[in-house]
Amino acid sequence: MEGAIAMSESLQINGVEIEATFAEAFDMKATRIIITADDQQWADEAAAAMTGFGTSVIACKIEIDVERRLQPNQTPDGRPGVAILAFAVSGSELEKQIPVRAGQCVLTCPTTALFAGIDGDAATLPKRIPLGKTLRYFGDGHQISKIIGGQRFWRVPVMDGEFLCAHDVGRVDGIGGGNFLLMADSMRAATSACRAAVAAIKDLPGVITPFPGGATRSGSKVGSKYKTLMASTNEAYSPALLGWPPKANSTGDSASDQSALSDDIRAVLEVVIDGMSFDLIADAMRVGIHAACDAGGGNGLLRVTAGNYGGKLGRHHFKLAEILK
Amino acid sequence: MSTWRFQLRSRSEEPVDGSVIQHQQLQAMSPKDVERIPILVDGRTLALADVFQVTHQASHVDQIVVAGELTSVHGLGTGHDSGEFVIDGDAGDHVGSRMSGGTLHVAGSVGNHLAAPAGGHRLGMTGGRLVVDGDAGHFAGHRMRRGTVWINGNVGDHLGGAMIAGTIIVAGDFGAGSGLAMQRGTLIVAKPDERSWPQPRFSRPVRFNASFLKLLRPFVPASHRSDKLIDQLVVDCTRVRGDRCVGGQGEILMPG
Repeated sequence: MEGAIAMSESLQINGVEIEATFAEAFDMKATRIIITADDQQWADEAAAAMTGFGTSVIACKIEIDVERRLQPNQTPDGRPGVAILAFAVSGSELEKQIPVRAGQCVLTCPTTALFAGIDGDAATLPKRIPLGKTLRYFGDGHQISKIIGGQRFWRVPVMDGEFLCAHDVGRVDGIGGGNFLLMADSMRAATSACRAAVAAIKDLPGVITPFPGGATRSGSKVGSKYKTLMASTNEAYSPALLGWPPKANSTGDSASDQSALSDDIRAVLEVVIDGMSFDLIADAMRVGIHAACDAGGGNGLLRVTAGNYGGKLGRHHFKLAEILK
Repeated sequence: MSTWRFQLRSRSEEPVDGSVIQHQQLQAMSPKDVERIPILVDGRTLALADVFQVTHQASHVDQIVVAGELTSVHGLGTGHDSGEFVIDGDAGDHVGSRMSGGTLHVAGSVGNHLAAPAGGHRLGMTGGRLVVDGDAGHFAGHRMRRGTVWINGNVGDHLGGAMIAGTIIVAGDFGAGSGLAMQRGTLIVAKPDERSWPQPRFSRPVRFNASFLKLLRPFVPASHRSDKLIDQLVVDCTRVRGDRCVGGQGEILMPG
């Protein structure tokens, strides 16, 4: 657990104020898979299907996105490919989600093959996520196992030849929920800064931004007045709730305005980052914030902050002042 | 880690049982103990030091080297399970019998029953990587269960007979009766000849996309001709499957 934030001087980048706060992130289970195909288009299409509906574990149960495209000389079979990172709150959930998605989205996609993207065999990474171990049964007895270089692969006959698939892939520890919030005087300014940030993060290894376009407008708080909901809108960052009559506090007195926004803020977008390590996420936050400020400073981006829960929920605290040094 | 070196003292026509040189057995023994290991020579029991000069030294790899004119030494590499086993020269029969892991490299040719079971054992090679720089005799890969065998030269008859699984790559010619009673597994051959496998028991040759062979490419032994064979098969491959008489789904891959 890291200590409380303390930042005596306000920090600015290109005229954009950086708030003295921190992003709070959580331990997750992670893996990487590699999809290859005869051409980049098939690989991209399989990856798009595999990563669909994978924005937040709140309802998707998995956060999954393309990490980066791979050149033929970077893939096991010398074909164009895509690396995908996936994160879940538990190993068992990851073990459930990955084979289902691989079966419906990669096995089905013409010319594709599926490989492990995490180095390490069962001796070094005993926690495994099944790939071909599960999908081979589609071969209905005609599947062929091959052990090549100490790694087991499955060859499953399909309508364009054989679907080649690694037996399984290792599972490692990851971190989910790195984030920063871009506060702007217009939606156009927020969009511009957000897209610059996500574009800068896009090519970094070991991280993904799983929300649509890399960002979410529905930043949430924990819990809700409705008991069945585990998350609900974060009033403090909603411009629509600026000036709303303050709620009564526990003593019945009128509380002060709960908004974290000033009157000049009209739009807030949150870039959420999952990564394979603390340093990779911190680096992505740094790169993303700088890119956003470079694009948005003087163009409507007014402040950058980060989402946290007071440090009570996640053990990984990304202090903006420190990662932007 | 260490290197054990066994230098054959003199060439002999008498059959020598080389299966006593086993990696897992050597690990717990001193050089003196190793020299006293009993070894059968034409039915007579001698000490290992009577047949081989034994040297032992620390090394950065876990290695066994057997050197000399070894054509009468049989069973070398039997049960090899990890590390490197190097046969520096030609060897006799049953090389790599019941090998289960590690690598076995023969810098020469071998006799019959490469990677095949010996004695009353049911299975041949069950894992690892076996490389022969020269030729192999008859019954190579018989009852092989798993692992990869690379043969740079020619092989005799009955390649992969009763094979259960695994992969054998032959860069040279291969003889008659290949794949007989083959259940699964892959034979990769350079010079297709339809007389080489039992015709009615295998499927007719069909074009096949052997894209999985790209994964084998990095593991082609240095200076083996198999590199060209693998490259060729990735773009131009024909396959037959069998042996249907035993309900087998083995495969023979060949250019063309």
